[in-house]
Amino acid sequence: MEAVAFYIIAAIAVFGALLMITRRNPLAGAFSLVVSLIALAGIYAMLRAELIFILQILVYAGAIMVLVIFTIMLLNLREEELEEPPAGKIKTLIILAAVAFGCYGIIKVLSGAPDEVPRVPENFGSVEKVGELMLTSYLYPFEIISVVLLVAIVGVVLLAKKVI
Amino acid sequence: MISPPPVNTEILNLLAPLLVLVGAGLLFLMFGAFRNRVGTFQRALIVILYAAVLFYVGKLWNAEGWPILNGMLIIDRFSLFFTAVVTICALGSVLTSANYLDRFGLDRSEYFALLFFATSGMVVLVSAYNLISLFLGLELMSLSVYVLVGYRRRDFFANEAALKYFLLGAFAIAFFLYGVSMIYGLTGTTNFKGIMVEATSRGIARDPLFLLAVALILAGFAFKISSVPFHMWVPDVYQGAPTPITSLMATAVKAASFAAFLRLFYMCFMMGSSKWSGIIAVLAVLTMTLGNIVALVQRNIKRMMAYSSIAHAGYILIGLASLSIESTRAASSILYYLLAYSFMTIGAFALISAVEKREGTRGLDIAEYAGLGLKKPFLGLAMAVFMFSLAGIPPTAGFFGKYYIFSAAVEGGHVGLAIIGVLNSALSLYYYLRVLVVMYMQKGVEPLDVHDDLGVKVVLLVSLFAILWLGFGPERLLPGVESILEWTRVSVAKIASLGM
Amino acid sequence: MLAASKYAPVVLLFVIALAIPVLMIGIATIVGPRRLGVKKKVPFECGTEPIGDTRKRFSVRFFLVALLFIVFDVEAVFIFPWAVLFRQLGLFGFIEMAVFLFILILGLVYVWKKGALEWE
Repeated sequence: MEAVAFYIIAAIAVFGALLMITRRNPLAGAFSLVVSLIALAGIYAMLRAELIFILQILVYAGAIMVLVIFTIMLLNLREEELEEPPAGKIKTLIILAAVAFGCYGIIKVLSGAPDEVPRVPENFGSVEKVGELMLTSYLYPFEIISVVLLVAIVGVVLLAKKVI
Repeated sequence: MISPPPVNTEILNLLAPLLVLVGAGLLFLMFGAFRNRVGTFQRALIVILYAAVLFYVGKLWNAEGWPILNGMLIIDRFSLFFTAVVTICALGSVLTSANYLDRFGLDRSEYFALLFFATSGMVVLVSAYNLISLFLGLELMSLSVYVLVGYRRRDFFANEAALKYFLLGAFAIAFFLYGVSMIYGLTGTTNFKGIMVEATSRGIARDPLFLLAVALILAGFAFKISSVPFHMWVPDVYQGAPTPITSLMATAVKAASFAAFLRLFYMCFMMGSSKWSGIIAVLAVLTMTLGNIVALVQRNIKRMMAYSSIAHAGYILIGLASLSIESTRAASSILYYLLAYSFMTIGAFALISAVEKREGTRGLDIAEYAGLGLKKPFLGLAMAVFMFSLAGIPPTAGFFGKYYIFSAAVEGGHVGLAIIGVLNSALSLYYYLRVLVVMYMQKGVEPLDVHDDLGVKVVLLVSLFAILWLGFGPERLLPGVESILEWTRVSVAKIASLGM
Repeated sequence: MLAASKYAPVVLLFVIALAIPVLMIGIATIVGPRRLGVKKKVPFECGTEPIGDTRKRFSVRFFLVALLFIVFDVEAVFIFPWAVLFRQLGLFGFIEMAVFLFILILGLVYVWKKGALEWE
C-alpha cells in the first residue's frame, strides 16, 4: 500500500520536473514545478517528516514559487523571444539517466554492500522532535542560520535596491 | 522537560574568535544603517577587531581540542591555525580596501560588515566537525562573498562576475548537499567521527551510493578551491570583483575550503581507501597544467593571477593526493603551502589594487606596469619577490612550500606527480617573470600614478617580510619555520588520531 | 498505517479542492447555454472596458519586496518549532530564540533605515 502510494507520488514528481524542463512557456514551466514540489511534499509526508512537509508547501510551493513567477513577469518575454526547447538533448538526458540508474543497480549487486540502512528513532521528523533537536543538539548551527539569513537580507538591499 | 544544551563560559571562551567576528559584523552593519561613510575611527576599529581575533587565537593555542557543543565543531590547533590564516588574509584585504574604495566611490560600512561575516563563515568552516556546520560555514562564507563580488553595482564586469559566481556556486553547493544527504542516509549521522566509524565498520564504504556521495562532495569542494573541471568561473569572477575581494577569494576562501576539505577527507573518506588518491591526483595534474598553460597567454594581470591561483590549487591537490595514515608529512605540507601562498598572493593583489584605476584601460593590462620597477623601487622590489615566490624560486617561501609538497608526494609514492609539479613550476616561470621584465626593462608610455597609501605599504612590507622569513627565518627572532612546521605536524596528527 | 490515517484529512482536502473546480466548470459546460459574441470574448475585468495590453511588465520594485519577504518567511519557519515547544524549553529556549531574533531584528533595522521598505 505504502509502496504503491510512493511510486504514484514519485511518478508525479518526476513527471512535473520533466514538464518543467520541456515547456516553452516559462509560466507553464513554473506551474509544472509546483506540481513536482507538491508531490515531493507528499513523499515527505510518507516519511513522517511533518515539519518538512508543511515547509515544503508553505515555503517552496508558496513563497519561492511566487518569487519565480514574479521574475517571469518581470522579464515578461514575448512569444517570439522564447527559445525552442531542445527536444533531442532532453531525450539524450533521459537515456543517460536510465543508464546511470542501471549501472548503479549492477554495481550495487556486484559490490555486495549491505542493504540495511540505519533506522530513525520514534517520532523522527515531527515538529516537536525537530524543535527539540534544533534547540539542543543543533544549537550552534541554529544560531549560525540567523547570521546566514542576515547576510541574505543585506545582500538583497545592497544588490537589488535602486538607491542605497 | 528538555534539558538545556551544554553551554558554559568555557565553551564561550573557545568560541571567542567567532563571537568577536560576528559581533563586529553586526556593529558595522549598524554603522551602515545609520551613517554611510567609514571614518578613521571605524578603520582603526576594524584593524583592532581583527587583531583581537588573532589575540584570542594565540590565547586558545593550547586548548584541549575536543569536539564541543554535541560534536558540532572543534577548536583544535588545526582550526586555530586556519583561523589565524583567514584572519590575516582578511586583514590584508581590509588594509588594501581603504584607498581602493575611496577611489571607486564604494566606501560603505556594509562592505566591512560583509567582510566580517565572510570571515566568520570561514572560521565556522575550518572548525566544523559536523557536515551541517560545515555546510553552514560554507554558505555563510559564500553568500557574503557573492555580495562582495557584485559590490560595484554599476560595473558591467562586476555584474557578470557576481551572477556567474552565484549561479555556479549555488549549483556546486547543491551537489555538495546532495552528497551530504546520501552520506546521512547511509550512515545515519553527520558527525565526522560518526561517519568515519560507520564507513569503516559496516562495509558502507563499498556501497556505490557512498562513492557517489563522496564524489559529489568532492565536486562541491573542487568548485570552491577552483580545481579543473570546475574552474570556468575563476578568471571572470576574479576580474570583475573589486581587487581586495579578489585577493580575499584567492587566499582566505581558498585556505578555508582547503582546510575543511582536508579535515573531512583525511578523517572520513581517505582512510583505508586509495581510490580517492587516484582521482585527486588526476585533478591535481589537470588543474596545475591547465592553470599554467592558460596563464601564459593572459594580458590582464587579474586574469593571469586567476589562472595562477588555479595552478597553485593544483600543487596543493598533490599534497591531498599524497595523504596517508602513516605519515603526516603531506598534510602538514599543505598547511605550510597555504600560509606561504596566502602571503605572496595578498601582497601581489595589494600592488595590483594600487595600480588599478577607474577609467580608461583600468590599469590592469600587464603592459601598463612598464617602468614601475624603476620609478617606485620599493613596489618593484616587493613585486619581484612576490613573483619569484609564486614561481617557486629559492630562498622564498614559495620555494619551500613546493619543496615540502613535492617531497611529501615522493615519500607517498607519487613520484610522477612530483615530476609533473616541477615541470609545471618551470613553465610558470615564464609568465611570472614577464611581469618583472615589463616592470624593469620597458619604458612606460603613460605617466604612472600609483596609489600606494599607508595600508597598501603595510601589506606589502608584512608580506615581503613573511615570505623571506618563511623562507629562511631564524628561530631566535620569532617562532621560526621549524616551529611552524612543527605546529602544522601537531595539528594534522590530531586529526589523524581522532580518525583512528 | 499510522501515517495514512494521520494524513487522511489532508488527502480528503486535496480531493475536495480538486473536485469543486472540476464540477463547477464541468457542470457549467454541460448545462449552460452557449451564445458567443464579441463582448463575451473580451477578457473579463470586473465589468469595466479593458484598456491596453494585459501583458505589462511588472515593476522591479516588487522584486525587492518579494526577496525580502522570502528571507523573513524562512526566518518565521524557524520560530515555528520553537513556539510548539515553548513550555517544555523553559528559559534557555527563550534565550536561544532571543539571540536568533536579535540578529535578525538588526537586519530589519538595517532594511528599514535604508528605506528598502518604502515604495521609491
